[in-house]
Amino acid sequence: MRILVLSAIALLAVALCPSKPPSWPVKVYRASPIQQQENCIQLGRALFYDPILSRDSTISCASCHSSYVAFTHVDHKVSHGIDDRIGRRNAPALMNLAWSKTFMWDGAINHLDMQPLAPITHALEMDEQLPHVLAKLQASRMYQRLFSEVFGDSLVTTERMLKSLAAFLITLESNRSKYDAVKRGEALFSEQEERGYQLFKKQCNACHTEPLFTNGEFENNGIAVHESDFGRGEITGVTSDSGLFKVPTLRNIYYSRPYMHDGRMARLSDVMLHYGLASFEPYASAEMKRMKPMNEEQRIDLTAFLLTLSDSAFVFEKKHQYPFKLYEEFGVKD
Amino acid sequence: MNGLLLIPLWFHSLIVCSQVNTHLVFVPQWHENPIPKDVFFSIGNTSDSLRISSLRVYLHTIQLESEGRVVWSSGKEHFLLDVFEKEPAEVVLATSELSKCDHISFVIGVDSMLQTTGAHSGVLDPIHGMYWTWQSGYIGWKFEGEELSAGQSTEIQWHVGGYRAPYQTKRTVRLKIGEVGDSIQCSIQIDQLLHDWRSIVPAEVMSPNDSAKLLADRFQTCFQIQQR
Repeated sequence: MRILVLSAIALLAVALCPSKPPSWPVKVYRASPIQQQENCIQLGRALFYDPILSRDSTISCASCHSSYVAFTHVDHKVSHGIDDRIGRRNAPALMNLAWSKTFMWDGAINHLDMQPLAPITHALEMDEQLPHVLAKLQASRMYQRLFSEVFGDSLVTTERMLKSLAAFLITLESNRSKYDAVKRGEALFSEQEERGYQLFKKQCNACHTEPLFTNGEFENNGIAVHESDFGRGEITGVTSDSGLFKVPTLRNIYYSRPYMHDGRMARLSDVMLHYGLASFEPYASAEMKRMKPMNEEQRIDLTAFLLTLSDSAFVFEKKHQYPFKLYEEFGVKD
Repeated sequence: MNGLLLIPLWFHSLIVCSQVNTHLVFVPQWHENPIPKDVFFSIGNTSDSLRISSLRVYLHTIQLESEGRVVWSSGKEHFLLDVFEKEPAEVVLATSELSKCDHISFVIGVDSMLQTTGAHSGVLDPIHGMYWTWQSGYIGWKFEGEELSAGQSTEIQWHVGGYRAPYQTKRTVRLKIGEVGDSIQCSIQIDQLLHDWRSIVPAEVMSPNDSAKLLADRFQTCFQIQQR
């Protein structure tokens, strides 16, 4: 009886305090001591959900990155921003950002701190200017208090704002899926999931490398490139980079539809069919050309495995969600 | 006893107070003539004219040399010159070694390490409008103006930056000092920057590319020390 009770307590402890599998790489982002403080994280969270960052205070980061769908813009091929302006890319899911070296589909951003500047100033997204953002925040009673609690005074600066946002963003860690439980020895794949996993390791792991399920590099996965978007090539100016896009994580893929950099594939089955046919454009990356065709049964097995990457604990984590209480306290309207 | 201690302190403060800073002053010129701010001025024998609204430049690693040896360096501290907004456009160098020096050098642009290490404050704060938000990276220097030629107006906007190969635009300028007194007047020859520009670059350069590199190469040659 005592053994049963102790085992139950141990299992509960593991469930409440999940640990990362030892095979995870070292984080790229080095958070400062201030960024690790809860009040800094909460300041970042307040900023993330606040449309004050946009020109007309209608668009927040969360407008395109919703916590309930792994911080992406579900059911939107491409996002729409201020004045309903339509962008040209699918909003990437946000998770495990501390392990990323570059951000955006084309890797335009080389440091997490600087990421928010892009949507804040983009004409199709928030269409705001940095000095005006800082002025609005400085004038806000709520932010005067929040900045003061974190930094010792209420001065709102670019650096403080960006580092606070980063402090919140790096807390978006997804590592409690069934796959992670299997890796920790706490669960087992079904036979179908196991078959899918073995297939995954042969066909997909080169680019969607465990445990992050992305190698963080830029590849061409064999879909037709539209002339309006050359991906990485637009950033580096190097011709051979044209048509390359950042390999997205497959974690929470169940939640993050539609798929591809422009959201052209509405369903996971469309993605499976694309890879399953293994008939790619000639400019596809070398890894693509090594793929073998997959029949329907194999595609279903692979899908079953990919669904084990769903982390409902992450998706429904209250600490990541809209800060109702904080906004209520200061009368910030939804 | 206290009075005796005061004497060495007095000498020390005298020495400290007598240290003279060196002023490195940048003066924009057109064929060695001063350029008025935001006003059209004639740029040739024709009726062509130019108005410059902005010239902003990041500098770092300013060094003074004597016989091939660096005798003073500003280190990695960065300076942002707003040539037409703040007069004089100068950098104050905390050294009095100028009389012993024969060369000065400085780097135009932002240090590569700072391009990839996140948000910075001070002169490197993105609020100064010298950081590309659509892709990471600082604008090393920015030239904006309007040229009137044959009755046609052309807006020139050159935002020159880039830290990744093959479009790195950081450039080092090294100049002989000669007879300069206690400050260095360094002219920026805008006529050299704009000489026949239409045949080499477009009116708008807003990203790291071949045109940015060409402009960076050219801008590097525009600096001259004005001898006393």
